[in-house]
Amino acid sequence: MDDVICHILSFLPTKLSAKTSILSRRWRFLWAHVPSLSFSNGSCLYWKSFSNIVPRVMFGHKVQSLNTFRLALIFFEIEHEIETWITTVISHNVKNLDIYLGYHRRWPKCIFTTKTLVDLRIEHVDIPVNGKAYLPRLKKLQLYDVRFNGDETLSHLLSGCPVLEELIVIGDPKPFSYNISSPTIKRLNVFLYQFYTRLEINAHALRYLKLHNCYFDDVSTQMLTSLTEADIRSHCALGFVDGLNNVKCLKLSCDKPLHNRALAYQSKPIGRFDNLTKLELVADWPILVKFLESADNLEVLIIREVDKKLENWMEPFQQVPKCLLSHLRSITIYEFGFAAHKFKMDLRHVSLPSIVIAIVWDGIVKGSRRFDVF
Amino acid sequence: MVTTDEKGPLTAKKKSVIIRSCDGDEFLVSESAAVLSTSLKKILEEKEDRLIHLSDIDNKTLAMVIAYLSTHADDGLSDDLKRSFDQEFVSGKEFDVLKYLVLATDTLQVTCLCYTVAKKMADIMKNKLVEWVRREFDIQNDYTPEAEAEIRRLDAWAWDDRQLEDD
Repeated sequence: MDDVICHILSFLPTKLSAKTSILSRRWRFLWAHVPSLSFSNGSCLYWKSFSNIVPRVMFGHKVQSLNTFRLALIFFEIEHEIETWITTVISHNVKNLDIYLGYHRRWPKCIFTTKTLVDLRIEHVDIPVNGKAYLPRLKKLQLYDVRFNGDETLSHLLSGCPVLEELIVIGDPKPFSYNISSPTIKRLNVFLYQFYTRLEINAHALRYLKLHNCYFDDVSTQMLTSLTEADIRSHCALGFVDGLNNVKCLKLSCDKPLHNRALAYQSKPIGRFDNLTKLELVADWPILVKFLESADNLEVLIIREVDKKLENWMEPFQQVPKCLLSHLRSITIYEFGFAAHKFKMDLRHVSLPSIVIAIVWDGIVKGSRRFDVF
Repeated sequence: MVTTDEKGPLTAKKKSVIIRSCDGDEFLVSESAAVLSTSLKKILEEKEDRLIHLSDIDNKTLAMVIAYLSTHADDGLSDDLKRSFDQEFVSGKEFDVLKYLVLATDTLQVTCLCYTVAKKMADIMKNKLVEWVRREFDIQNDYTPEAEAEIRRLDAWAWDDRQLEDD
C-alpha cells in the first residue's frame, strides 16, 4: 500500500508531497521515500531561498535510486549550484530527467552522458555542437525549443543513443537542415516553427510518424518499412510519400505549395498503398484520386477542408478505383466549402450498398446518406 | 454470469481465460488481453486451468481493467486511438473509483494503466485541502495539535508558499 501511495505522490511537486506528512503519523516520512523529486522556482522571489531548499530536501531524501528528477527554473543565478544538484541525482541513478530553463543555456552538459537515463525531456537546454553524447539506456528523448547549433548536432546526439525508441522535437532547432537517423526509433514527432532547407529521415524501425508544420525545401526519406501510422501536415507533405507506402493509417494535409519543388512533389506518382485501410486527407481532387487509385484496400476515407473549387469535385473518374468497388465502407467529409446538396462526387459506379457518406459541419452530421441517393 | 469482452463471440474462437472477481462473477477475456497484465501472464504460464480467481478485486473494478486490457490487445486500433482511450478512461472518474483501480492495477501489474491512474489521482489531489485528502484515504489524524504545529515548523519550506511553487 505504501508503495502505491509513493507512486501517486511521485507525480506531485516535492513541495506538495512533503505536505502530506501532516496527514497522520504513518504519513510522516512517506514522502521521503517517493522515488521522485520535482522542484520549480516559479513563485520564488529570490534565488537564494530556493537554492537553499533544494539541497536540504535532497539530503533528507531516503531513496537510494531515484526514478525521476524534474527541475523547472524560471530564472537562475548560480549555474554551478544547479550542476551540483544534477550531478547528485545522476549519482543516484536517475532514470527520468526533466529540465526546464526559462531561457536558452548550453548546460548542464553532464546530462548527455548519463548512463542510467531512460527518459530525457529538456526545454531551452541547448546541445553543444560536438560535445560527448552517450546515453546507452535512453528510450525517450524530448527536445522542446532546443537549439542544435549545427547541422550535425542532432545526428551526433542520436548516434549516442543506441536503444532510443521515441523522439520528439518541438520548436526551433535552428540548423537549416538536419538528418534524423536512428535504427531503433519507433515513434517520431516533429513540430517546427520556421522554414528549413532539408530534412532527411532514416529510421527503418519507425512505426509512428508525426510531422506537423514542417516546412522544408527538400525532404528525403528512405522507405519506412515498419511504419504503420503517419500524420503529416506540411506544404511538402507529398515529398514524404516515398517512405510511407506500407502504412495502414494515414493522415495527410497537403498545405498550399510554397515553391516549385513542393509543386513538383504534388505532381509525381505516389506508388502503391496496399496496406492502407484508413485515410484522412486535406488535399485537392487530383491528389485524392491518386490515393483512391493506389489504395485498393481502403475502408475508411475522411476528407477535410475540401477545396473551394466545386467543379473540381465533379470530375468523373477515368477508371473507377478498385477500393470504391470493394472495401470502402465510409466516407466522411468535414469543413465543406459549399452546400451539401451541391456535392456530386462521382460515385455512380460504386456498387457497395454499405457505403455511407456523412458530411459534417461543426461536429454535427448535417447530411448522412447512403451513397445511392447521390 | 459470463460476460464477454468487447469483441464478443469473435474472441471466443481464440484462446480465452475466465477471470472471477471477489464478488464471484466471471469474465471471459481473450488470452492476448489477459497477458498484458504481468501477474495474469505469470499465472497462465504456471497453470493449465483457464479460470483465475482474484480474491481482492471487485466486479466494477475488474470490468474496467478488462475493458482497458481488451482495448490495448486490439491490433486493429491505432496507437493514437489507444492513447486517447487512456486519457478518456480516467477522466471524470471519482477519486474513490480510481483508488480501487490503482490498487487493482498494482496487484495485476498493468504498469501503463497504473501509471495513468496514479497520475490522475495526483492531479486531483493538487489544490485539495488536508481534510479532503484525509477523508478520501480514510486517514485518522493521530497527531496532537502540538505535534501538527511542530511538523509545520520543521517543514516550514513546504508550507511557505513563497519558497517553492505548488505546481
